[in-house]
Amino acid sequence: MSMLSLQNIAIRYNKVPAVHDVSIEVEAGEIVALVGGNGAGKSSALRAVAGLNPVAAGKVVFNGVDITQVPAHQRTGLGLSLVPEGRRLFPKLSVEKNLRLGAFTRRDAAEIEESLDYAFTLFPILKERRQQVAGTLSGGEQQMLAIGRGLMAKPRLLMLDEPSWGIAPKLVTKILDTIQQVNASGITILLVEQNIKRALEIANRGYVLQTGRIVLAGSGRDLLDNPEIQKAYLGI
Amino acid sequence: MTGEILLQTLLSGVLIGLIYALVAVGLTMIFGVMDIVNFAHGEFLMFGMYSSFWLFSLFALDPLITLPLTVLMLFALGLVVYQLVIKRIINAPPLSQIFATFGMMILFRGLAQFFWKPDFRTIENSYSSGKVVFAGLHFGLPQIIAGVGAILATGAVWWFINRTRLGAALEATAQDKDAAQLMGIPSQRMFALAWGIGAACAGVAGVLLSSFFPIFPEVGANFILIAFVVVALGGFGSVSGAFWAGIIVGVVEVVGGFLLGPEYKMAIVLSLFLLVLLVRPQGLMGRA
Repeated sequence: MSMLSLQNIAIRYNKVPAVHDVSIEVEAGEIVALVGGNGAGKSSALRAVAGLNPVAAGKVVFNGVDITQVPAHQRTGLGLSLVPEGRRLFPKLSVEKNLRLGAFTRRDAAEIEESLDYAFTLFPILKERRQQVAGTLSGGEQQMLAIGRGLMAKPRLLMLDEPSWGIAPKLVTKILDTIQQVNASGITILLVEQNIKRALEIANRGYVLQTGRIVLAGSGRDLLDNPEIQKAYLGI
Repeated sequence: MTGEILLQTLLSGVLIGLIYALVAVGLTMIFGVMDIVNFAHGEFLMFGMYSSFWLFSLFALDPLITLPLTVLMLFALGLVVYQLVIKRIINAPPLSQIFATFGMMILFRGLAQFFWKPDFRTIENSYSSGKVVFAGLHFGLPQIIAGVGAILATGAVWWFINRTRLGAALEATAQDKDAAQLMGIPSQRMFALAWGIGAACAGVAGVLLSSFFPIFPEVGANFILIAFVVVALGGFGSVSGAFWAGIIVGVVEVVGGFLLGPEYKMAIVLSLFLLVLLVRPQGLMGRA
């Protein structure tokens, strides 16, 4: 049984279709990348898993449970966490408060402290800046905070929407390394990226979306070697 | 001598300003969390005053004794208003939202007139009646108690938002509703909480006013206009901004009225309002 399974989902914005009949499987322990150009429907699919977008058709199944109708705020407690596009931090709250809000669904104070330490181990800069207001961090620091906050929910599946968006190339490497590190600790990753090459390099498997449909699927390696992908997205 | 009078006036302005701040804190909290302007906010204050009045008249219980009860009632009223009215207009166009809360204002005033008559009522000889003379300055004890009470109530709201887990969730919802949902924070419950706290703040202000201000169905009108000025000056959604802006508006009103004549009081306050909108539309502590 897959950890996450999107079954023939369709998403519409004001009746304009954004995603048609998309099916995606994510197995426990994997890194799965959803890649494609602008407006391909990658973010829409992630938001549907998180419950922020209603699906017009199809099912979202997480750990064998149909969560299609579960409201967004109740999904976090089930073990999935979304680091949204554009980071969406609470800009006027401190780094530490942002992190603690990530653990809103959890009650065990000692375990929350452990997660906080874990986030600080992954991103030591956040510890230095723990009292600083999130809105004043640099783009890269904000992305680290967003990932740290997403991990504070202690998810089994961490979804990341464009983690390389708007940050320096050197930091992109650091962020992607950390994602692999998080994955190695047992957390399943579903990654959306426009930086297709980097995403497929770290992914076990990938899906290529184009105008709301899956046009290709395969292992990260196979997709990178695929001439169509190389031509259309990698400029080779 | 003139200096003494000016100081006296200044401090009177601060005392009434603290009440304005408390009324505005509730208004700004509802706006901050939901982007809805509550035109019926003055009526929450009016209900707070009548609650004090009836408990005093019928059971001879002092407003300060019955304060916790009034707070609970107003909190509950805020929740009921949210459930029955506001929940249905969350995604409605702004004009519908304005009509909804404006309609509630008219309804609440009408109900108060119908059940309690349009008469002016007062609470005589409450615990807090009397005068205080301090360093040659004279103050009514009710005004002092009201000022201190308003500081405590505003402080309590500030503490709740900045120091508790639930308060942080409320603030998070105000800053980014979708992101807050991703943290597992139920927006609907946060909205209800904002209405409960907002109404309770207005209720506390009503209780504190009830021992020195006449009580009548339209009394809210005296405060809502000023509360809007305070909210705009302090910055929409900012509790600490509303606190300082309330004091500023109170001082400007009372000192200005003293210097130029009491008939110009509102004109001075509203000129301040226009000035703020022109020069710093985001308010003193508001988001740009």
